[in-house]
Amino acid sequence: MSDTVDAPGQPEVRITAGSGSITVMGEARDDVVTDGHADVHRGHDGAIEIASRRRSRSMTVRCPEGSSVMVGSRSGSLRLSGRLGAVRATTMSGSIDVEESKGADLRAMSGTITIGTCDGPCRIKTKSGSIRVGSADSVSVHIGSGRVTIDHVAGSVSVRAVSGSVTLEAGGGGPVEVETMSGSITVLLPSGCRPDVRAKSLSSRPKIECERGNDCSVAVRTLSGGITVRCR
Amino acid sequence: MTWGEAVLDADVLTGAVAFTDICGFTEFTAVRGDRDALLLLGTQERVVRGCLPDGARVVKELGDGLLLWFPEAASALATTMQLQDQFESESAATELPLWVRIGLHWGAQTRRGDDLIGHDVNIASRVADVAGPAEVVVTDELLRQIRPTSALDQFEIEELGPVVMKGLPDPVRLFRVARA
Repeated sequence: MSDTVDAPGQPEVRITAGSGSITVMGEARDDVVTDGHADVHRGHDGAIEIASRRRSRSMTVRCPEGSSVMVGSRSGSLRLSGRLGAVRATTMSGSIDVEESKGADLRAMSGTITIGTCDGPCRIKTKSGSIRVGSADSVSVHIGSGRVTIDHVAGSVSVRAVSGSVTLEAGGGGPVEVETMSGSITVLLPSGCRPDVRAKSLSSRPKIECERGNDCSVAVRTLSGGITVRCR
Repeated sequence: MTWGEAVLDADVLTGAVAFTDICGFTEFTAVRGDRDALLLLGTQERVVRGCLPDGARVVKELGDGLLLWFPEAASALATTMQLQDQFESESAATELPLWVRIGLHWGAQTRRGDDLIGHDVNIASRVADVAGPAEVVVTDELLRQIRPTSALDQFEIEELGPVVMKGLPDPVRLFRVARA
């Protein structure tokens, strides 16, 4: 049993879920299909509205590649696979895993958030859990407690962590700003990059292992934790 | 009219409610001590009192947070955006991480002495939980109050989608507001 709505192009899909896991798949198709456990209709603004019929039921939604997807969930994992447009996802508790999107805003009260590739701005917030970004054009992160790992960001980076370590590799194409209250900060920059570094830790002397210059701006600050800025 | 109805009529307000919350206040206090914590709270209070427009008020303090009330939606949004600008300026200029998140909602509030209570007050509180530091997140109801005017032109409004929040039976459409 399934529900299908014709949706050529790159539609906007708005999903409201309860406590079951949600899977959204971006595929080469011209319609939006659910696995039958949801009400589907077009909203006043043209977006395709999908709501799970039962609070704790898991749900799978298949939509065209490039679709903009908004998901709101009470709890349960959110997995968004394939190539999607802008993704905005919130959950009170549960993990969020996005494979590839053009821009993302991902928020969890508690839970791990992972995004593979974000061809656009990537904004992530979780109160507790860990955050991992594969690659992104720009990144803005806030975490209450937990580890932040950013494998590669081409442009600007802004990270605020209350407690937990932050490790990131920046391409030097934009300013890097990282602040923690307690937690170590490690910033890796490309070989040969000569950054303008402002680093302050109230608990230890920052290690700046780069030749200083004006290639990019790096501002790192922690109340309690070590700081390392290194050029590869 | 019964006695109960008369009391309710007299005590119900309509307006915008904002909750502010300092992210990481507990950790900050643990690392820096009570004296710096007081300094942080004092800075927040000074900034807020300097920005509130006529008719708006601080309803109460909630530890490191504040409950604010505004008679107009547009002025509530403009003020909370201005608050974030000033909190960020204070953070940059000092060693005080004034990382404040703000949630804003329009609705009805019931007066209880100087306090305000009610479902719409609870919604505003939950919206603040969704916001990150330096962010203002608002409900669609708040935006609906402003939309007939051009007061939103100076802002970028980005929908976050239907958001399910603790204790609320239905999801609420939330929006992140940033300077255009």
